[in-house]
Amino acid sequence: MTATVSAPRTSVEKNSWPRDFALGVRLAVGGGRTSWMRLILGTIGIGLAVAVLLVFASFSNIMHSRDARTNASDRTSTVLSGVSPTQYIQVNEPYQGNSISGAYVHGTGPNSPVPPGITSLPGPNQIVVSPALADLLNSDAGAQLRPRFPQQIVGTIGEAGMRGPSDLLFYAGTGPLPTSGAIASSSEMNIYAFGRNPGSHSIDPTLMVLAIIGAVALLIPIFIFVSVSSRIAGAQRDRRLAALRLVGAGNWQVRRIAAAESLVSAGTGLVLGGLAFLGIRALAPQIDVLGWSTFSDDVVPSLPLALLIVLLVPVLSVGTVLFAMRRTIIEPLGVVRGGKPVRRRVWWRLGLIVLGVGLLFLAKPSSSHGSNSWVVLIAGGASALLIGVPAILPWLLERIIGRVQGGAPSWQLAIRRLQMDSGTPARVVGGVAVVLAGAIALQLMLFATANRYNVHSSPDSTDNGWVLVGTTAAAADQVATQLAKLPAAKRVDLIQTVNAIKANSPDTADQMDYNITVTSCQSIQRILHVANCVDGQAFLPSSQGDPVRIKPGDAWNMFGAHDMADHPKLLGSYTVPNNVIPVQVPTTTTMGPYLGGGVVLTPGAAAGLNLPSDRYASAWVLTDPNQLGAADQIANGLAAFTWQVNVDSLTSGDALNADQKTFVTIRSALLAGSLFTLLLAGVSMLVLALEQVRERRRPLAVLAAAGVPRTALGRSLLWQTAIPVVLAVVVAVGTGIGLAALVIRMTSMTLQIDWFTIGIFAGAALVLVLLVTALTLPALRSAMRLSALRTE
Amino acid sequence: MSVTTSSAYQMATGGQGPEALLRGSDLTKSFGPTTALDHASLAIYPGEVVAVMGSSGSGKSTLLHCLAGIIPPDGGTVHYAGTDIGAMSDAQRSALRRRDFGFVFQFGQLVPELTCLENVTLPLRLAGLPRRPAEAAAREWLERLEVTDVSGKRPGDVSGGQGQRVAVARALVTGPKVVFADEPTGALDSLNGERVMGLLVSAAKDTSAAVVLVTHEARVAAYSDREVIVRDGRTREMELSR
Repeated sequence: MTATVSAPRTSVEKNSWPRDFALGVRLAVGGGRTSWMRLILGTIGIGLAVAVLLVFASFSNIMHSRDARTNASDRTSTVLSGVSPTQYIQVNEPYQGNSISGAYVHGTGPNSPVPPGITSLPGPNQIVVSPALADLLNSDAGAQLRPRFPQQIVGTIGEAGMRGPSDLLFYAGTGPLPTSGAIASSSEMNIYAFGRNPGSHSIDPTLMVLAIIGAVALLIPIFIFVSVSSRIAGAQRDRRLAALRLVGAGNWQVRRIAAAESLVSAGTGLVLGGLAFLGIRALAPQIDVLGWSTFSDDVVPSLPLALLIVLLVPVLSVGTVLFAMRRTIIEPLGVVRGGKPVRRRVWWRLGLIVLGVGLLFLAKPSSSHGSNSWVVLIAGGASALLIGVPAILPWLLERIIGRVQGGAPSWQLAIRRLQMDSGTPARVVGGVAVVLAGAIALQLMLFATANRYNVHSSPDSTDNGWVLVGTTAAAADQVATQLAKLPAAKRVDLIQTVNAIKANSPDTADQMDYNITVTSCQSIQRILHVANCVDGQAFLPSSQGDPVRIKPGDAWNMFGAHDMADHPKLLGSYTVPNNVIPVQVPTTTTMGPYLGGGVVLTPGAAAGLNLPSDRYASAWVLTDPNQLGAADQIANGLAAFTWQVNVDSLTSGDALNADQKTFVTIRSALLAGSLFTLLLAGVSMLVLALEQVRERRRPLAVLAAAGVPRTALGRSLLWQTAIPVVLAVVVAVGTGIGLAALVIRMTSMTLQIDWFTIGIFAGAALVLVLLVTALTLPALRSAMRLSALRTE
Repeated sequence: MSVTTSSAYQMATGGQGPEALLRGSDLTKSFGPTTALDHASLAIYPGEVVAVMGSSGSGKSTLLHCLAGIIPPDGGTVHYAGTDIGAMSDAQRSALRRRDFGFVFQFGQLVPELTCLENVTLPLRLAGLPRRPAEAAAREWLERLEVTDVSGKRPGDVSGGQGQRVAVARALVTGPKVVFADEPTGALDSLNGERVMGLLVSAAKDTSAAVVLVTHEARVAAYSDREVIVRDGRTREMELSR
């Protein structure tokens, strides 16, 4: 007699949670190849999302740490009694398009302040360098650089003294520096302390809006991917749950089992995401985006956000499964969808878009531009608009597909399939649409912003390739002589400058409003594109659109260079001559605008001014385009002048100010992020396509048996993927352009539609379709084998 | 063989047989415009094997599903051991299926992710039995049904006949009072079909379980004690002359 075991007669529901959970885990991890595939895909999806979210959650800490270190390096020139100041001359060294920042330092006493990151000031002919600069100097690539740093390297600058690990930084020791008179760099002074209170740096509101839109555009597809990952093998799961119901599992019991199943991939995804994040964190110093990198120690997610991610991901994963089952009645005979087929409601989907547009309209261009409320309106409006894209797509696709009829068999198969279930493909391409809409909007805004920040990927001037050598009037001739020997210097214009303020201005020292520039007629003709110039003439250059601030007869006070104590010396007065010649600076000249904001005098016109010898001078060097590394050659050629020259390449990254750098960083991050999220969306599409093939294995085999050619079914797959994507691209282009237009209308920028970039993004999406279809074909071929028809 | 309207079982016992274990009375069920059951009635007595026969679309599977409480009838009642199944909650019906009923369908009833042994232990585990005794009972049934060698394999890795025998083991492991078998040999060749039916009926007899066997094959129906014909949603009892 075979043993039978009577099932307990008491209700098991109340005690079944742990068992249900265990069964869910068992089904998730021990179900053979399909289970593993589902688990792996889910884990990868959730893991990627977690890693990206953790990086996002670390962003504020990265910025904060960076700012804190930048603040710690800031210098105080206010006299502190009892402190022997450190004489400090800041210089920049161009190197292969990058910039090496540094300072010549000299301690005037035993308690002279020391910059952060080093323990003591280097002595004369000694230098301390950042690890990145040390590596560069030791490498073959740094051979050209070594002549500029003949000093003995006596130490390495620690993390506390750098903004990021890729910083090229040095402190060179020197003997006592002159305490008065002009020095090559305008950043020289007696330093009494390093470091200032944090919180003075705030990000430009426009950049903040760009960053927020970027974050929304990148995060929504990630959430979509997590949700799609949770739905992998949904039909198979339904069948499994129906089988469980047949043997007596209760309705809520199967939901708990399904939730436990999805929790497993959420858990493994969290672990994978955590590990991936640690990997990214470890690699952070090596990840260099246009000279912007970060220390591993800075990549720490904010604790509340990290906790939120750890809680949110499993909740989202389980929530997605339960949400997908909300209208599903799992019965022992199978799964039925409850109630009447629900037509997608449009009101809340359109509501999001209307809300977005409304908020963007509320943010009028006014005095509130840049205020917190303005940023909230813009960011909120843009987010609502972007979230509206994946919300409206399923409705739109359902309506459009519902009206399509006829066509070739492959087209019919695809259309009928989409008519049966357009929700899942629409959700997946919703991710693509958000990426595209966000990327297009950002690209258009960046296109406009690029004009504002004057950052172009290619120079549009007729006379590009300039190196500015800052020096003093006393050393100017020697510098010019040395420059003349360098083949990289094609042409040199010597410019001498005195600063001035209005004669009756109460501010006598801190704010120099005007420049009085003295240079030769030849240089004036070359730089300002003036046809005729005679010695004795004075010119008043202005750029198009600039307000006219200077009039003949204006009286100014002239000041000499700042000395070590940061005190400029009053030299005398100057009156703008009545015969000053107004000059419109051509837009095609790079250097012309640098002469704006003052008067330009020929030597004859400056003769009576009795200009002091300690005035600033600079050599504007037009480089030879045939010479590789012209700026480096010039810096090397002038290395012997040490702190007496400051070489700046106008093409070097260091020519960018803080906002420009932030802008460049955001642009790079957004472009990389767009590609990454497009890839995520592509993986979602591939998973969906493979899933469909697997689910329809038998009908596909039947079609093959009936003689339907493989190419027809392949084309059907292509249409099934392509139709939603094409619709997504159309919606995305419209939304992207609309969003950009709405945001740009509030700024002084002009919307220019960059069809080339839009074409690239749309093309990338279509390439993704082809790629997904191509990768699905092997599975289709396998599914169409007639052996799939066998049941016994 | 002649068609009668009374129960052959009752006739054989002079109308003094035991109370029906499961009784469906005046059952109606429609799917849209299609009428599947039209005032059908059927009583199942303890330990008997009843074959429900009929052509395709006659409503025989729907009758089985209504009797098992899997789908609710539109009209009529189903009583099991004197209790109206229609009045039970979903949880109570689930518990009934777990405890007192067993199921063998044509295919698809095994959970593909679980091994054959785990599939057989599943109803016991869902009912709260610890793993070891559940597995011990399952192994005995797998041995009885001559599929011990596939206990560690998944349903997808075994033949159709082996899978059906695993399904029979799962249906019987809880000691059910009624086993519902819907075309249990429909996907099997005749040899395997005979083997599965022989094992199912003998095992059910050994455990005194009643079997409701839906089939359209006369050779399968030959294993039953009595036959009920379903035509156009109505039941008619057949007197057996074998």
